[in-house]
Amino acid sequence: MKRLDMIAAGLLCAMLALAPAARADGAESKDDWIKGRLFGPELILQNRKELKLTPKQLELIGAELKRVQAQAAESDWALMNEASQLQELIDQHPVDGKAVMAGVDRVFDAENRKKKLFMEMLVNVKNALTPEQVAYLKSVDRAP
Amino acid sequence: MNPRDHDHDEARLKTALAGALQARDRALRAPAFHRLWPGEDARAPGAGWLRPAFASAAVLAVAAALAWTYLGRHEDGAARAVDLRATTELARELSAPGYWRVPSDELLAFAAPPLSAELPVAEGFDVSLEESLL
Repeated sequence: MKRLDMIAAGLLCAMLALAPAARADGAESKDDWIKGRLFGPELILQNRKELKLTPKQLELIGAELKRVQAQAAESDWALMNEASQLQELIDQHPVDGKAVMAGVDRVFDAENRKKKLFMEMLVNVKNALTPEQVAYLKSVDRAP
Repeated sequence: MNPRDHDHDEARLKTALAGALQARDRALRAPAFHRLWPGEDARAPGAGWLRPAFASAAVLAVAAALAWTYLGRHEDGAARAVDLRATTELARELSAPGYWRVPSDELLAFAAPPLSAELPVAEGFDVSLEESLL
C-alpha cells in the first residue's frame, strides 16, 4: 500500500512538473493557427529575391496593399466613432445595459469588418503567389 | 593599210558614232534639271518650306524616339524603385500587429497587475529550523 502511495505521489509530481510545458505548447499551437498558412506582406517582400517575384506579382501585391490601406482607414474611422459612443455610455452610472450592449454590437461589427479586411488581404496576397513560392514561405515562416 | 583607207574608216566611224549618239538622244529624254534643282524663280510658290519642314520633323522624331528610349526607360526604372520602396513600407505597416488591433483586444487585459511585494533574498534568508517554528 505504501509502495502504491509512493508511485502515485511520484506520478503527481511528474504531472505537476510537466503541466506548464504542456500548457505552453497548447497556447503556442492555439495562437499560431495561421502561422505557416497565410503570410504577412512584409515577409513576402523581404523574401522577394528568393521568391523571384515577377513584376506582375509585385504589382498585384502593391495594388492589394493600397486597397486594404484605404479601406482600413475607413473602417478605423467607423470603429473610432462607435467606440467613442460606447465609451460615453460606459462612463455613465448606472450604466444602461441595453444601450451598452447595442453599442457593443456596433463596435464588434466594425471590428469584424476590419479583421475581415486583414484576412482578405492575407488571402489575396497568398493567391498572387505560385505553389512553389508558398512552399518556400512555409519553410521560412516555420523556421525557428 | 594605206592612209586613204584609214581616213575612210575614220569617217565611217565618226558617222556611226554620231548616228548612235543621235539615236540615244532620241531614245532618252534629256534630264529635266530645271525640275530636279529648280532655281529660286522656278520653285512653286508656297512649297519652299516643305522640304526643310519634313527634314526638321524627321530629326525631331528621331530625337524624341531616342529620348523616349533612354530617358523613358530610366524614369521607368526610377519609378519602379520608388514604387517598390513605397510597397515595402506599406507592407511593413500592414504587417505590424498594432495596425490591426481593435478595442475589444483590450478586453483581455483585465487581469490584476502582479503583486509588487518584495521577496526575501536567498542569502539573507538564514533562519534556523527552531526560529522558523517560533
